[in-house]
Amino acid sequence: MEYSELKILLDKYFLGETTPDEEKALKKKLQDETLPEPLKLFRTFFESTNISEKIQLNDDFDKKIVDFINAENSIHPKPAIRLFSFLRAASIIILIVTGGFLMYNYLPNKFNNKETEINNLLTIDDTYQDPVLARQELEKALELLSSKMNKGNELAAQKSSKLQVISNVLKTTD
Amino acid sequence: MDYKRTFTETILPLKNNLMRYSYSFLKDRHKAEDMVQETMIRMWNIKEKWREMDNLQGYCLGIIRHLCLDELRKRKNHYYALNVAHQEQSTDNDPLEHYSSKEVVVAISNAMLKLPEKQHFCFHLRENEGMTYEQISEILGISMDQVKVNIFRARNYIKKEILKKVEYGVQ
Amino acid sequence: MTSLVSICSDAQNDAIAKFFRQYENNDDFTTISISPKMFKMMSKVKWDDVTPAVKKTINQLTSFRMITTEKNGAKLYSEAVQKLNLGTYEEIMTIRDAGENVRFFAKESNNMINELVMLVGSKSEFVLMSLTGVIDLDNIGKLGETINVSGMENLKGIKKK
Repeated sequence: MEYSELKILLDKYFLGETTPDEEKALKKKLQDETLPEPLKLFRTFFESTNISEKIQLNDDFDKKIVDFINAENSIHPKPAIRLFSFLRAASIIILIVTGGFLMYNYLPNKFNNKETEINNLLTIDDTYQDPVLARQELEKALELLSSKMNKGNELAAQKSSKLQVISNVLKTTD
Repeated sequence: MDYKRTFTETILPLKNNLMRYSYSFLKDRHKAEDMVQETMIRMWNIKEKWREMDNLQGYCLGIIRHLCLDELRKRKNHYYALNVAHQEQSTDNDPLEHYSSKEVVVAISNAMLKLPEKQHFCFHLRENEGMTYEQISEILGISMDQVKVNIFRARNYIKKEILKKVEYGVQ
Repeated sequence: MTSLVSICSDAQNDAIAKFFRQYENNDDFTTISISPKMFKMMSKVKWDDVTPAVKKTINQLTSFRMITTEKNGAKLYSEAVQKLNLGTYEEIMTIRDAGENVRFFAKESNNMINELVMLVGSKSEFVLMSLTGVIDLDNIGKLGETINVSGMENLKGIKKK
């Protein structure tokens, strides 16, 4: 067997200089039954590092993911639509300013927010030193935030008097 | 940006690439598939950030790697042995089998896990996905020279590790 | 990574920080502050017992601040409205119901909300909450479903640092 050719390829491989075709040829040569013992090491090298092309996902997987995305899009309509379509008034006054903003559309970027981030980063001292505790308290605080926001949506949905809205024009996304 | 279209054209097609990558860590088809699924869901959930990313494929690899390493850590904690690890126990004294012995296989698996992220990515994309250095450099956002260096280092690190296991040096 | 060296002298954001500094050592107030560094630490801790919505939301935040009190709620609310330069935000929701005012403000860039502020004022309660990061209102809406929250009783935040 052409050991010299094989050795040349191996050396090139470990210099990172083989082409994809050379690598294919190299792997093929290493499958040869007459391979001398010491070179079997390299056969094992490729057997262990290469993952078979047979490891694949079929179309069912694609379907699963696409279904997920479609579901996400329909179950959770963008907040602006929700707020707008349920607006009522009476003893509750709900002013929604800028629905388009919430649609993640293009809007002229009025406010540069890098400064916000920078300032926050520089001035915050942690109340808790234990990340587990910090997270627990954060979760509770976020639930409060969420419930207040949902309250607004629910109240709007309950009443059936006329709307009172100050808003910008809603643009629809793709 | 048409998120759905970008997703189906750029991210979903990565499924097999990601599958093989996660399989190389976990050696378990079901788990590997779970990781790919989770990666895609996470990517979808940060779609507003896609604009800012240099390369979505590279980002996906980062996510799945992170998930796989977490999974491996969990396994260690629960004394979950990788199939290969069991075999580490066997003493293989047969000289004929030496160069393809289970010890060598384990050494290789361990060496792969120890590769730094960029080396591992480069190695995988070339070895399993057959990509050119140019393609790899684009995905990872590094120069072609750096791709070559990473591949050089990865290949030689693994080779060194297995030579350590072998009684006779290979000539 | 954008450089953190340039310190912005813009007044708008110092306003919230100033408000915090003014009251954070006051016994009547409860404050919670979580820095970006702490968020990084939090993301490393094992975390299996929460809903995906909670995880998703928290993983995308970079900072969190909250200050609250049960005394003089209405007065503090007016004070906050005055001092916080809220005009530089987009007001996205206002609710006035049974003597309680709730307002949400946001700042965005690149079509994403990167700061959300909530202001609550009533006779018995004042809350100012500010989050920064990548903020998805959809996810936030889902969080309130998990627990029945009635005011501040559930929050343990310490009063003094």
